[in-house]
Amino acid sequence: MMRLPVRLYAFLVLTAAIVWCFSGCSGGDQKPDQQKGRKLAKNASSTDNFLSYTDALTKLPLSKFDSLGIVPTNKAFADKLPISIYKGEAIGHDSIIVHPYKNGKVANIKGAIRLLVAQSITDSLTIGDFTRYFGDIKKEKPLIGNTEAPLPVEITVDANTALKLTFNSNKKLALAHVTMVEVLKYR
Amino acid sequence: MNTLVKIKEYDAHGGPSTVKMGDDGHAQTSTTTGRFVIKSIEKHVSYGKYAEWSGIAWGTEVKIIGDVVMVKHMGTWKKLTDVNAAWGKYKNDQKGVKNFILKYQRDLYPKSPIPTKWFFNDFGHVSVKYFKDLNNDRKMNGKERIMGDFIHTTPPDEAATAAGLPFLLSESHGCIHVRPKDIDTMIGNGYLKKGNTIEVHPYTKKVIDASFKRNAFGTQFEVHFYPGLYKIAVYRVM
Repeated sequence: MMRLPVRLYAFLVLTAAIVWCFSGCSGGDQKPDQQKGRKLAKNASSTDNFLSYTDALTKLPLSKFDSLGIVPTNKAFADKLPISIYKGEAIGHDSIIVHPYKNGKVANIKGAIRLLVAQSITDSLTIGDFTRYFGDIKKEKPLIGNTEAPLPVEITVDANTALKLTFNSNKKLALAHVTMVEVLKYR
Repeated sequence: MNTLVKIKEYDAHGGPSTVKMGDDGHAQTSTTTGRFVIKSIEKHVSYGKYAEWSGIAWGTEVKIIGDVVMVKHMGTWKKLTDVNAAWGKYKNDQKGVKNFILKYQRDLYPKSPIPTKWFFNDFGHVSVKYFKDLNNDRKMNGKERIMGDFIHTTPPDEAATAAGLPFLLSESHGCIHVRPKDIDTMIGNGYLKKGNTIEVHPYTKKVIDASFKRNAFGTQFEVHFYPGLYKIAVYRVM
């Protein structure tokens, strides 16, 4: 009489393990876009909120890359992040300073939104957070020699959009803390 | 002893509070604390680990002919790869060098994609170098040497300033990073001047003193760096 429940139990455990395994594998195969919503669903931290805010800015068309065009996005995140529009004043470390600008026709990059990351967010925001959310860093030719500060890295978001990340030097790039993000628009 | 009274504050960023290894394999050290005397204010040219990008003085003329990058080094036009041994390693890859220079220029100055001047020196348009005055004679002599920590700007901050874009000062390998306009103001107003004193306070100091007493050795101003607060304060000697 005792053997059947044990077998049933083992079967259920095995089935659950297989289901868990396959859901984990398929999760790994998902593109970053498909994972975003789930990642940010519960108890969003300032890092999650910042990534989500950046994501929303990447979705804006070039025509919205000005102080008026980013207002709705800023409003949507106003209660989650300390966002300030740059107005030429002294820059503190307490808020995210946002500055959209356009480069004109000569430049390859037609417009950008520069985000100076608040120190409290930089302390927990790493390059690895961005690659997990947006995808891999763009492959570049190795740097000639050394520069005192590491050169920024880029992540291609779509055909028209990229992220440029400036960070504090770290032996492991994935663990380097991000100090500035630029949403770049090529078209 | 003299009374020093704070008259100005500027943003500044030093090295990390504890030593860590940078991505380039060079250790990032904290900015050395203590009192120092300014030895020189000049464009820095590096002969060591930064001899590629910083081996050429800020503002040196640049031109590109075909696949060759030329610089006006010491008054004479030369191939970039003939300037020093560090660049000489790339003499068989002129096109690769040209493409990298163009990319760096585009990244820094998207509105001016062709370089005409060398704006890649890691130490910016001017550096303030100082030494520890061990015998208090205000002159660099004996075993006294210029510290590895300079006050300087960086290429991205210079580019952002030129474009009118906001930026945060980056963490250094031990130097004191300041804003391009601020270093010019501090030099122009005589706060940073050969023979003046620079004091670097401990990272643990979390308040900028409004005034205190020091032996000012007859100088008019002192510049004090508070690395834990990311600020430089200028003091007038009363």
